Amino acid sequence: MTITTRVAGHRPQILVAIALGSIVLASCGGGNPVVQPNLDTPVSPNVQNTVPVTVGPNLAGFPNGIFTSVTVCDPEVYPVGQNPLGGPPLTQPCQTIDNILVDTGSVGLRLLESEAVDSLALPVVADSNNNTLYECVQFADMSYVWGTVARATIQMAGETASQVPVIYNPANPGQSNTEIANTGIPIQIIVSPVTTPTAVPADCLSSPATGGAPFAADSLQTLGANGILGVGSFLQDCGSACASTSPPNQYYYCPSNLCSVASVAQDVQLWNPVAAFTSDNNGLLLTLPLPASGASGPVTGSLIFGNGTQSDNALGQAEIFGIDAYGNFPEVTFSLTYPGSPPSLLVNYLSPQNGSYLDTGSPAFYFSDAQSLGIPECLNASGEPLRLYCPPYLTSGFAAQVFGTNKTQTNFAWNIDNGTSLLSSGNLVLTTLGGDSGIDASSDYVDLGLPFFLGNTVFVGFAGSAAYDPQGQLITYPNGYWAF
Amino acid sequence: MRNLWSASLIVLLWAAPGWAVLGEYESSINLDQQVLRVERRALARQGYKVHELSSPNGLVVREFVSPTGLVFGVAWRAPQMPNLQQLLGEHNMSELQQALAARMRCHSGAPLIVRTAKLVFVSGGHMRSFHGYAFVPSLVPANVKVEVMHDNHN
Repeated sequence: MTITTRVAGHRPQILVAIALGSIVLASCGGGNPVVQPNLDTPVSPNVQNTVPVTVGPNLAGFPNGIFTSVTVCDPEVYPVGQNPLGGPPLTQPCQTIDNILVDTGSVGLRLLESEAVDSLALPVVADSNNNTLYECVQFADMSYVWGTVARATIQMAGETASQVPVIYNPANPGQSNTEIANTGIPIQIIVSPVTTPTAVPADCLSSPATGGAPFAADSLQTLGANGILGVGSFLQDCGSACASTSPPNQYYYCPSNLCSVASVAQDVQLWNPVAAFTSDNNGLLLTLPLPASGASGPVTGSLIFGNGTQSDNALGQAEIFGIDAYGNFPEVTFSLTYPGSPPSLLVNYLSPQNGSYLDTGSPAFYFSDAQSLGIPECLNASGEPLRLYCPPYLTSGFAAQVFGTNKTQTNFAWNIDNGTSLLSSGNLVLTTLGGDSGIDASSDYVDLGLPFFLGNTVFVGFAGSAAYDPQGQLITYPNGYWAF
Repeated sequence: MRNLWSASLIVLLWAAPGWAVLGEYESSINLDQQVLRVERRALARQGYKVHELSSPNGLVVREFVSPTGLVFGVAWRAPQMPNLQQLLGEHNMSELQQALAARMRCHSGAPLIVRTAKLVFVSGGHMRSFHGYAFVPSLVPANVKVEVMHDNHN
């Protein structure tokens, strides 16, 4: 176990290390539970920290999806307080699930229920009356996932998440690793609202299951993947709001099949699996090559765990952009400039109303809107807009100036090609796919999706992690950072 | 006890007729306030009124009321997607569902924009930071720009 003691104005001292890298803060202010597992940039032992990721052909034919495999194991479960620290060698059954979408726009591992997942018989999270914890998550596209919260040990490369990092709770300072060692981390098993015996609550399923929307993303076809590996900058998918006395509609207990919203502690919410790894848990980096023009073959890159913890994940010359409390750049200025002219469009987007962000789970560059840009919309066969851009030819001049909370800024530009031609090409790696973010400047923003990551190396630092600035000073980012 | 209370609210939500807001009279906002368990304040603007409802867990809903007393638009930002059935009402929800019926139903990770003659709906953002708005074009007062519904300071 690693223990960090903290003295105001001094760098934390790291004492003793045996195995589990969870960091216990010996003292914290405030009355609420505080999670700060990654306040330093610890150097990990030589753990294999890289898994391959691919963009291209995939089981559901999803364009610009980035996929990897995750090994999921039944955790060792012992009576409370009897878990051996560090744990015995993992001997529990495991399954490796492929075609998992790597999503920096969400948090937590969500797996479609399958024979492989069922065979593990993962223990579920339950309350003291043995009611299973369920979760409903709705996405902006009006898809939702519904299912049980189970505990699993997650393995990727040489990394293992076998428990959530200890949450220091001033009200219960005696809580220790022994109570949670090897209990696994909470993940969601996505079930179909049609087959589950538990009625999906009305505020999750706000229309009949047969209606048009919201709709359940509960199959390979509707989810586009066998699961989602949510590795955004947050440590849990909800955080303190779901642990409050007035929780939002996200976690539920369903006694007698009647679901009611539950207040659940952060240690049983879905955790960012990488933040729960024993080592290399302060962030990750994604590096993807740019496909050759017109190439349709899969693009293979690397998902590397840890930031500045090993020789292969140093931030180097990458510039760091602190993320705000909403998970966005605090400010982004979008511009459209045709060659030889001053910008014909210049719009400033502020978070959260027009919050702009990086998201591997978005398949395109989403920015501005067709009317503001004067670019045609792609239409489907019945003439309805697909909300993708269909310029007649490859068009350049789109640029963003992004700002971090630490006052850093940079500019970059991208090109957009005809969406209909791109999608009908059969190619599933589309570097120039773009679409509307809103309908006018007041509702627009910039969602830099998967195409931004092609030909790029992008770091995601998790909430509470620290990194050295160009002056060699260690800066802590309470909401995490992006660096590229 | 808490859970029982929440359960009864959910039952109320499911069963209560006429808790629609968008396109309804201003008084329907009261029910919103009850169901969403939120703080509320009203702001007078040039040619319209705004009711801002905010909950301790980060949900902010703004409802725009025309001089005739009808809610012509709703805007939201929240860590979780809000209950759209609640905000849009049954009628607009079914309009939205009809418009979406022809589309491919899969998780896309993309913003959602729907424009019909009767409803405009925009939804975007990511987990822990969603935002969007919806309005009924025919109810927007002639002298009010739709942009005000998504501006920062309205």
